[in-house]
Amino acid sequence: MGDYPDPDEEYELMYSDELDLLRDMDENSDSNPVRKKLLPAKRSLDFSSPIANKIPVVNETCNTNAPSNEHVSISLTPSLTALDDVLSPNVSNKRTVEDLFGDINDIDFDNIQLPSKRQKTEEESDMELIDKIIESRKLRQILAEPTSRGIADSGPDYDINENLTTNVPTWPFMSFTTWNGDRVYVRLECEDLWEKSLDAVTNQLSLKTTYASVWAEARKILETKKQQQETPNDSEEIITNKNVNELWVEKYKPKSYVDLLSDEPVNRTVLHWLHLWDKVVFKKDVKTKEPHQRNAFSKRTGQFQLSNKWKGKKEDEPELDDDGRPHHKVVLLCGPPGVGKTTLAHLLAKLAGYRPVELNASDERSTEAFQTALQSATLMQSVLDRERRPNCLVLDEIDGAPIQTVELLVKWCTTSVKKEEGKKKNKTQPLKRPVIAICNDLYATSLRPLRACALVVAVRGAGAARVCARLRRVARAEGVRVSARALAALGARAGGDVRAALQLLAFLEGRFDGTINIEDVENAAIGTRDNTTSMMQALQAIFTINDNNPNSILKTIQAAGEYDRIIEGIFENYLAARVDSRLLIACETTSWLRLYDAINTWIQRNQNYSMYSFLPLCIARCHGLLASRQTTKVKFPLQAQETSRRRAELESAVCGVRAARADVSRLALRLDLLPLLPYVLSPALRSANVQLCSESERKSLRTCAGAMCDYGLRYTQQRTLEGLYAFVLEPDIYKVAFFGTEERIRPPPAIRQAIAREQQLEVIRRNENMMNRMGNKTQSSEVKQKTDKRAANRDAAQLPNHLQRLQPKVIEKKTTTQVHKDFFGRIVPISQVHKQDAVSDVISSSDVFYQYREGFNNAVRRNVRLRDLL
Amino acid sequence: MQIFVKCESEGSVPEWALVELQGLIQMKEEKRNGPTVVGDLHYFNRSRHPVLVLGHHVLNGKEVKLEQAMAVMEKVNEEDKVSYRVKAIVKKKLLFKSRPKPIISNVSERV
Repeated sequence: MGDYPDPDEEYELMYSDELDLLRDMDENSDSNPVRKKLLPAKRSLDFSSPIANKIPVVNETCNTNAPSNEHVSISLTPSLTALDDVLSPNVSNKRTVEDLFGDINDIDFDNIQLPSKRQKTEEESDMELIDKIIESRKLRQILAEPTSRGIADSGPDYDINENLTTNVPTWPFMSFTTWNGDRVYVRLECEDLWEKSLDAVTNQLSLKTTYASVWAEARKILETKKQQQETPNDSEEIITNKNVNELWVEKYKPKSYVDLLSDEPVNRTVLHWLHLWDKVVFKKDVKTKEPHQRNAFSKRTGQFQLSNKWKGKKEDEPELDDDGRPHHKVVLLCGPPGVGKTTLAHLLAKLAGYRPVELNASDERSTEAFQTALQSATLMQSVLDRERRPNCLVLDEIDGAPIQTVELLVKWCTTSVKKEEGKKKNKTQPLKRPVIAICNDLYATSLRPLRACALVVAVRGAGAARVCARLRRVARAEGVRVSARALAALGARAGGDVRAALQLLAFLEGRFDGTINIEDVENAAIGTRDNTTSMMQALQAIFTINDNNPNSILKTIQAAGEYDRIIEGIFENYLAARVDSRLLIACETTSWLRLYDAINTWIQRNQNYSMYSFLPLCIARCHGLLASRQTTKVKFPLQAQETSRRRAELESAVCGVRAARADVSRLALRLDLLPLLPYVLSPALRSANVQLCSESERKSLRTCAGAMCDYGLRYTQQRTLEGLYAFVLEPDIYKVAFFGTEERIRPPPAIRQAIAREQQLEVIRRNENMMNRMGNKTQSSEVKQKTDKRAANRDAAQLPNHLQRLQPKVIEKKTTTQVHKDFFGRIVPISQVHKQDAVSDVISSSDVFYQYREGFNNAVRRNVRLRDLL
Repeated sequence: MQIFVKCESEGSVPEWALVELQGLIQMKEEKRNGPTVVGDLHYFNRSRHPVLVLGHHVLNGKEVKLEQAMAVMEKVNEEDKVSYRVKAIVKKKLLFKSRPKPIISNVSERV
């Protein structure tokens, strides 16, 4: 219905017609008598009063005839112009038509007039219908008489010269001014006449048959127009083919779904996902047919569970979430370059009725820029686009975007509508438009958050056959003669990369002027993809026999590069590669590995890379020994890394000990000391409480603590995964001393704690000792230095090596005169202080002391005689 | 036979007190002879309790009234006549029976 104007435009149309008409009036030309006869009659009323008043009048006149006629009358008025163009009948013709189809008119008219009754008649008997028809015919006859008279009367009335004048007429008129200032007078008619004339008009126009025919004709015209539009497109394509400047890749981009080279399941998945957005974007119900199909299937076969199983886990997740959006808000297309991911995204978005908005690596992708882009793409609508399509954001090469950007996208995806309602403050609005993200490397670190919430679709390169077919089509379109073999070589060479293949074709075409042979393809230096086979691919190739190209192994190895890793992989897998009961193959392989090692060591040591090219040969020899037809599962070489990691760990432990005991050689430490040290470090204590230990146990604890101090070991508290604190020996010599069985001999945690405490005490004790020693030294005068030295030497001689320590230089403390203060902070004079000191000295230095014995009494009772007294 | 006990001074006889200690008074160095200051005896002003500072101990005691008063007498031999002269009268004793408290004097700066 797009061709028919809406009411606003209708008014404009009427106006313009009117003005045109008036201009015609002035020229007194009657080129189109029907139009002029019909329209002025109407307009004579239209302009007699405001338009708003008069249009309802028209409707009312219709309504009097038929209450449900309103719709028809409205739809008819705009179609007037079309009618004029299509039919352009003259007055007499109209009359005859009316006369001819009078009977049919009656019935139609009747039906329109009494729609409710018609419904009834359909339901009731035919007799009633017949009665009605007869009745209506009678009515019609009565009505027909005045209308025919009206038309007969109005026939001369519609003469333009009589209805419109520029002079002031004698008949009743309505005057108005045209656009160029001329005054025009239009005849006013009485309302009865007008109604009658209307009757005539509606009689003619309400013919459904005519209307349908007009509509059909209009449609035909439209179709022919469309066809005309399509045919120029084709010719255009042919013309553009000549355009040399355009890239072939752009030119032969798939233009429809059928043209897509990517796998059908991939296309379908993405398209289906895009259609899932219909509910939100287009307010359409989404067809989720699959459950129905499954039900039907189950009814027929009775194997509902089987089908359910077959559907797999994908069905477990609902495709739409609560907001009516798809479960996955983002599709992540991943695949190697050139396979057509971007093309797929754009084409499918267009197919699904969206306008693709691309944001790729060349655009700024900071968080703010991305936010604005996302907002503008998903929340707004393009004004320039004629069809007002909703946007579909295509994020190209998203794996190059900063991680914050991706996180922002994920945040957008995860916010739901309900949350939004709950928290108005939340700035991020839910995503309401589909977002297609495209990446090469699915496992890029920045994509990790997105991977969890996106629908990941892997796009693989098209097969060589399909690429070839496409290349052939392009070649034919371009008029390039390419042999079939050359095309096959091209396709095989591209390895799924359609873009590269097309570019190579274009390149060769430009170079060889339209004929391309297979030699040209093979000799072309471009178009091969960078042969970076991964290390694992190379390993796999080493362990399998390649029948097609037996000599390619060397190339593969060289392409993979990392010889060391490959050798590690061989070393880890060679024993399982082939049945080798007498170990002959293993023996041979190890000899080659040995050779490799020798060469590699030499190269590394001398930094002389002249022998470097022999390294892949060693590997190739290994391939010759190990390759088999059965598919062996090649393990990723991890052991070497693991071993080196452990080695570094142990080395660091040894170094930690050596930091404290630099006097012991590394070898001695490793072989003699460290294996025995753990036995010293685990004293046999019956309980962790040192107070309860016997003397010998305490002694062993002291020894243990002393040894720990000597070797720079200590227990540190570390938080374990369970959240507990455990005492861990640092550096952990147990790992060096025992290989894997160290846990057995480690003291239990409680005892470890005791040891840790004792060790700390030991440290304090040693420090004190050292302080004392230094104090003695400072006290001793220079005279005594010699003896001191001697003594020190003696000490040193007496002390075992591991107890000797370098003593730091003592910094003498300057004694500052202390100011004594009493309780209230007042400074006490020194004399008083001295006095106090003196008193206290008397007390502390008195010879007499008292030994208290409770209840002790040495009083003696003696008998005294009188003679003693005398 | 008569034994004369005389009070020499006409006025008042001095009153002495017994000191009872439950313990031993010891010397650090035994060799020294002659009188030695054993300690200082004080009284608390308020409670009139005796305090004995002995060595590095402080002894808190109390006055106990003796059930029988005693006299300290001196024997005087004068031409076959023996007489006694009362030097002092003891009516009370200072009893130090509680555990002594140590005096921590002049704590050195480094411990």
